[in-house]
Amino acid sequence: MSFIIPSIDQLDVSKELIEAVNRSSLSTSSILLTPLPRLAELLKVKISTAQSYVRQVSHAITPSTKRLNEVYDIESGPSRLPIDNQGGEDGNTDLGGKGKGKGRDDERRRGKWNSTGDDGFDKALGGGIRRGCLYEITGESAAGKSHLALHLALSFQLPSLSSSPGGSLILTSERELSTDRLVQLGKHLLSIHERDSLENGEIRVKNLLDNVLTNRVGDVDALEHALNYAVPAILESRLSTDTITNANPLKPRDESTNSRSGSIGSSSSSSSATSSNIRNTIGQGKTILPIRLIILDSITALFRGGSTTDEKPTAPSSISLTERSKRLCIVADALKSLAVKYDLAVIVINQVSDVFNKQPNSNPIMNLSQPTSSFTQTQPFTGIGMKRRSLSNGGAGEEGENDIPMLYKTQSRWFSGESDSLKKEASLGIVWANSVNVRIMLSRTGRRRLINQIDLKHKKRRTILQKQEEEEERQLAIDNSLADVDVEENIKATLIRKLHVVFSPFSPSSTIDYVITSNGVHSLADSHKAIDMTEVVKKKREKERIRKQNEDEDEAEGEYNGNGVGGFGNRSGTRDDEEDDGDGNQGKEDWDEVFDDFGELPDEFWNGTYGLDGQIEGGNGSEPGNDTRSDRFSNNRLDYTSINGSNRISTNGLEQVSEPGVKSLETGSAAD
Amino acid sequence: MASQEQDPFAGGQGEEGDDFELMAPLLVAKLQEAGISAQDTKKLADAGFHTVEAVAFTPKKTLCTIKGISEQKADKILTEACKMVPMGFTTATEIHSRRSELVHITTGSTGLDTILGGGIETGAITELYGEFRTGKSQICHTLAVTCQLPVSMGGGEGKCLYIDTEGTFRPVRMLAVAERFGLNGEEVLDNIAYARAYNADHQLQLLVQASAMMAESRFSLLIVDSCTSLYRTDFSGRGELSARQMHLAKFLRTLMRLADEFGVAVVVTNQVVAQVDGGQFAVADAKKPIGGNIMAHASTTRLNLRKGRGTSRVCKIVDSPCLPEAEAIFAINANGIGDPEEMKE
Repeated sequence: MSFIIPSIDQLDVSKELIEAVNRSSLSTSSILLTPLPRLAELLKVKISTAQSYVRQVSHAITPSTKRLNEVYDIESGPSRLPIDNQGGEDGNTDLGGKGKGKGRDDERRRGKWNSTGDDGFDKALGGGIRRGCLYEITGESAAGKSHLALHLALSFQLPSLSSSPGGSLILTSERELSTDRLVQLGKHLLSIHERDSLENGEIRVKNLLDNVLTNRVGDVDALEHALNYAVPAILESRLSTDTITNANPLKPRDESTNSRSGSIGSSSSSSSATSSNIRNTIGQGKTILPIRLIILDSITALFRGGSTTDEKPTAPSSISLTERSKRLCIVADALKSLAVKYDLAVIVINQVSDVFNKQPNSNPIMNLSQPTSSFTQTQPFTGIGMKRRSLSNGGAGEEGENDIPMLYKTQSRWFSGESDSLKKEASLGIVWANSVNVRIMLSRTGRRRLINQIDLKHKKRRTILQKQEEEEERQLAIDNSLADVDVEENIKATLIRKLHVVFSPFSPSSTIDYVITSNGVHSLADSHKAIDMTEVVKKKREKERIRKQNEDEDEAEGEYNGNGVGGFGNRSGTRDDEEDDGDGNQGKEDWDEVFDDFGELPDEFWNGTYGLDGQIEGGNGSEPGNDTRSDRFSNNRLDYTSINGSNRISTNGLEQVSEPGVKSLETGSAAD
Repeated sequence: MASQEQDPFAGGQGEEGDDFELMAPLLVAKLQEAGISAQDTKKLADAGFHTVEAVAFTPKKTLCTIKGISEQKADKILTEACKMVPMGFTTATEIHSRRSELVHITTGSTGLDTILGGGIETGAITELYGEFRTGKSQICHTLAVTCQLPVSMGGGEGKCLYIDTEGTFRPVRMLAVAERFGLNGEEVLDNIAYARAYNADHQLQLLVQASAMMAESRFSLLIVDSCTSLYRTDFSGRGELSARQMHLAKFLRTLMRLADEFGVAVVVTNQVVAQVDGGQFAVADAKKPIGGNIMAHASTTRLNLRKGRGTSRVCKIVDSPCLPEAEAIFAINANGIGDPEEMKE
């Protein structure tokens, strides 16, 4: 629902009212707010007529209310299966494309939900992407945000993934759309979800690209102009093509009419007819679908670049920040009203900023000057284990030390996307955070794993010893002609990325791991973990309390227990409090995940040809083998130690003794 | 890539004809058909808006300044005008066909060109970062010459603009590269416009002059080497961090506008900072490029350079909208960037 009140001629009121208003040029709000005698005077009518006018207008403006069971019917459609039944199956991403029964399709195509095409994501998001809502995808650079948006722009068009497929509108602010990747993704998505149509030639990749419209918006003014005028014009024009059948309600959804429930019901029951109709229309000459997704990539660039009219760019002042907040609200409102009116989903891509720990402040006077709400002055607020530390502590610069409840820093941990493993928060502050419905944070975990690119099966990294054994086994198998030789090229050290649903009205807060392969975005099976923020906060309190205790003890003995070394407890950096299982063990299966964010480890490491004491298997000593290694790695000083410590690869052939500081990498429980 | 599979766009002829026709500009009187009164259209014409296109692309504030056009009327006029005029939305299909004509500037090394899809892309910002001696300036020197080659040889057919902040500009290197490609050394050097920036503000001002020069003759490459070194010294400490980032953001946005407007390739080099605190990343000796999130998001393609063996260097694509993560090995030879020896057979 929008703040914007429509003008009188857009409302459903009697003709005479419209004429009267036009004669006296009153606006809608003044009709409602002017006292009756004055209104009758202005409109030159009797008081009773004026009264009926006011009644008509307020009736027309009020959104219609629906009963809850009507809403439920709209939501769940004919198949009343609750959403988590989907997870009852193996929950793996079904990449084969076969075995997709009709039941599965129906679950996906339900009401206002558009499936993303990947079961893991659908589960994490509570069913997929929901039309009528404003989504935000945020994350640091190279996290995969634009890529995910492209994937969704294509998956929204597939009839098997939603009851109301449609094209997308991409507004870019930084760079032009990258279409090569769209073509690649399109091919793969079609081959998985619409294999029959692809083979019949009903849908082609070109048809998918025809339904992706794009435009550049250079600054906020251009964006507002586009959202108010250009975009509605495009949306309207694509609704009125006559090749879309009547089964899809085409009229923009007015806030006062209630026509959706009936038509949705009928469309679901005749869903097969609808989708085949759409397939036909897509295949034929006219390939126009209504727009069901608007993507804005990215909104931060519009607000961060600074206006080009400024002579000298200065740091943001409070005036410019309030100006920014105002415009953000206007933009968010325009997007949400478009989403509701035209039954589409809006996805906005945001960037991140760094989170800094507060500077250690030894001056207690400074703490007094921090604004606190008067409530906390009079009573210590003890909710969720937060305790007010005494001011004499002087703020040791840790989170959780001065936990004054109403500060942005305390509140933001619930919605900013910041987590233990990721010291970044979504940009544009609290105003924007309150404007979006769902916030999704993407990040690179930095860990790499050997993964078969086709079926996403995990492959263990081989060491030299194992490799010899495997070779022998394989030789045996070949001899007995039992072998099924692995396709080696498909196995790559793939970076694992994390999708974190920070907040959403449709699903609990959770994370799920995924990878990007040449075939698109795929979530990894069994990686979906729910997060319980209150537990996280409690655990952090405990840890700090214990650490503080230890510190106090150690101080007495004069030992320094710095933050840097003791602070991190794990190598990969993501096995932290957010795991709900409570045990701090790193699972056995993770021992060959290595932290390698930019892929700087050489192939030999993954192939297992880089063995003990830095010898390359099969290399002669005289060859540039030795020089290669030392030259290549002299800068990096890499020291790979696995959990069980059986491999120790070191540079320059020297064994590196692990120091006490480094030992904490292995959570103290590993060998050595 | 597309060689073995069918071209997905084949067989689509005849359908596209109608979508891309050009329309002659519509006179503003046409708005009367949509319900705008004749008086209003006359007022628009008197104010200088003679075509519907002119009206559609103006911001509402400007229309409201016309005497006699109230805010509601301006709203209505704009709504109707935008319905009549194609507002610049293009389909991805059209963009895809346009992109196949995009010029790529060769770097001199076939391995590097391959992973980049033909070379450095024009119309976009490419960022090179790496430690010292990884070859960033060498690539810039080679590009300054290859951008002048004709397109058939992988060049950009235009001049080069070189903004230097560290004083590493050596024309003698460019003469060597020019010989390799068979170009006249004198002319090559004549086509390179060089400027030395002394502080961050000066760096920004140089771009104003750059756009003036680009409007006069054809440039195909703009190099800033290095873009962030002056910021490191001019702004110091946490207190000035936001001022630094704002300035950097403005600089990068201006670069993007230049790349867009004139279709030049923009290459910037960046420095790295070492992660001394370790934290969670104590395994590898990690080096991060500086500039923070602003820099990261402004560049279209980011390339990470590191030293290989001998004269060879390894380049890895770290962030790109359409290229997969891949590595290439190149070498720094006497005549510029090229392939490492062993691959030359």
